[in-house]
Parts: sequence; C-alpha cells; structure tokens
Amino acid sequence: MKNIQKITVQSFIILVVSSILGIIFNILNPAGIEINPKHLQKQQYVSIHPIVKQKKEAIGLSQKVVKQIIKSQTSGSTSKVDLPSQNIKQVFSESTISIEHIDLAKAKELFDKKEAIFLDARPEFRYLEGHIKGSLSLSASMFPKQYEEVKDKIKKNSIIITYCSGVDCNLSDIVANKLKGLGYTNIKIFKGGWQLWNEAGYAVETGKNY
Amino acid sequence: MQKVSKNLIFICRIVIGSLFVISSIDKIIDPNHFKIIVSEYGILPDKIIPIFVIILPWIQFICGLMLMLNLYQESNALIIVCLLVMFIITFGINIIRGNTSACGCFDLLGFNEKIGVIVIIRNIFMIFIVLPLLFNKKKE
Repeated sequence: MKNIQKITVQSFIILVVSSILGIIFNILNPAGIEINPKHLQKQQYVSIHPIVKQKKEAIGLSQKVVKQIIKSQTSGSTSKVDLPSQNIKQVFSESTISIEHIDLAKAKELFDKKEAIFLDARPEFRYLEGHIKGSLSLSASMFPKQYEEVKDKIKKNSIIITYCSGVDCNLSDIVANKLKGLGYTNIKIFKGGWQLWNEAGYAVETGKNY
Repeated sequence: MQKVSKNLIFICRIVIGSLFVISSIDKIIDPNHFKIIVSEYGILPDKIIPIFVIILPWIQFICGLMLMLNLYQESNALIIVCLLVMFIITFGINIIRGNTSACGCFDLLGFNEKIGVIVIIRNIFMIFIVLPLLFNKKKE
C-alpha cells in the first residue's frame, strides 16, 4: 500500500514538472501556440505576431506600422498597408498577409468559370463524406503525403482556393501558407468553407474521383 | 535467470523510453502540426487542445528519458501505461467514427501514418512491454 502511494505521488510530481517545463518552453518558443485563443480572427493575429515580432526586431519597425499591418490582416480586408521601405515590403511578403480571403459569391464565380482549383483542407475522411465538386483533398495534417498525390494537378500559376469546414476553421489558412511556401503565388482562402457552400445548395460530390 | 530478467528489464526500458522520446520530439518542435492532428481527432474541446498539445509531448519526453536513465522506473512506467491506454481509446473512438486522419505518432521518422487498427495493436504490444517495468521492484 505504501509503495502504491509512493508511486502515485512520484507520478504526480513528474506530471507537474513536465507540464511546467512544457509551458515554459512554449512561452519561450517563437513558434509556440496560444494557450487561450480567442476568436479565429484574433488567432490569426496571434499566428502573425511571432513573425512580426521577429521581423520587427530585425528591421526596427515602429509599433504603429506593426499595428497597422496586423489590423489589416485581422479585419480580413485586402487593402494594402503603406509600408515605409522596399526592404520591409520584401520581408512582409513572406508573411501571411498577402493571401486573399474570398466570400461565397467570389468562390462561386470562380467555380462557374472553371478558373480555379479548389483544395479541401479538412481531414480526408471528411472530404470523402462530401466536398465541393471537383475539389482535391489536401489536408493540413497529411499535407506532405497528399501533396505528392495532387501536385501534378495544381500548377504553380493556377488560381488555388483552399477551404475547410467553416468560418471558425483555420485549416484552410494553414494549407494556403504551406502552398505559398512551396512557391504557389495565386492562392485564395474561401473562409465560408464547406458549411456555407453546402447550405447554399451548390455542386457537391462524395468519394474520391481522381 | 536473474541475469536474463535484468537484461530483459533493461531492454524494455530502453525500447519504450526511446520510442517515447522520439515520438515527443516532433511534437515539441512543431506544436502547431500536432495541434492540427489533435483537433482532427475531434475528442477534446477546442479550449483544452492548446494546453494539451503543449503539455503532452513534454510528459512523453520526460518519462521516456527518465525511463532510459533508470530513474523512478515504476512511476514513469505507470504514466506511460496510462498514456498508451489513452491513445488506444482515442484511436478506437476515431476508428469507430470512420476517422482515418493522421496519427501523429512518429512523424519525426517520416511515417505520416493514419489512424488504424495496426496503431492500436502496436500500442497494446507496448503496454505488454511496459508492464514488467511497473511490477519489477528494485532491490533497495
């Protein structure tokens, strides 16, 4: 009995110490995650913030300019912020602020004109249950593997639209940024996602047809 | 017989300890990727996922490391058994739901494996390897 108690207490201490180490590491880690994310738009703010913080320190940006950039991104507007110099523009072109968010109407317009390739960022099993007609599955969690399957179907200069389940889902942002890192230049994010598209009664299909 | 038993315990410690350390490293380095995977499991509420994603890899890392260093063997073995049971339950629920998203088990080794029966069987096998460590009392 005493031994069981001893083991239990030791286990508890190990768990507490490990948890504290994890939290400290996360705080110190520039790529750490927010423990208490608020609304999705604010989460986007948080995801940009580490980049902004690093870049700001590197190039001496003023607080005012940094706030302007973050505000333009979180408001979902595509209007450009007047950046002070070419060097800063170059630095921030690497961040998330250049990916356009589009609404249902725009997504439908591009779908009807067959001008865009739709990529479903949800897990594959969700894609198989139902997806925008003609879209390809490229989930955030299985990105490396699935990208190998679809890369021949998405050219670097194609209009690419990523989507996931709905407004509160940020998987589409994650996939869009991964594609941007691979050199894709014309990426848009359809924030309304599967939920809005399906509710609107637009073309959908099930299974994997490619 | 005692020597065989000692060697067996040593091998069990090293195997399980190293597997847990390896499994944790990728999650520590890239917590955002692990967060995506945990979100896709669809079990934890959204508010709990961030703290879970931050803490779990460190529990894996510390327990794995301490096990390899032969520190507090029984306590670490107990934690590891509990983690493995939790993983089995999580994967089992997702398999029943038809969720075959990423497992997030050993991404550092480039496996990118999906949730499946094989993953569950592997975890059950690991529990059998850990159990001798839990019941093997060190002589004082």
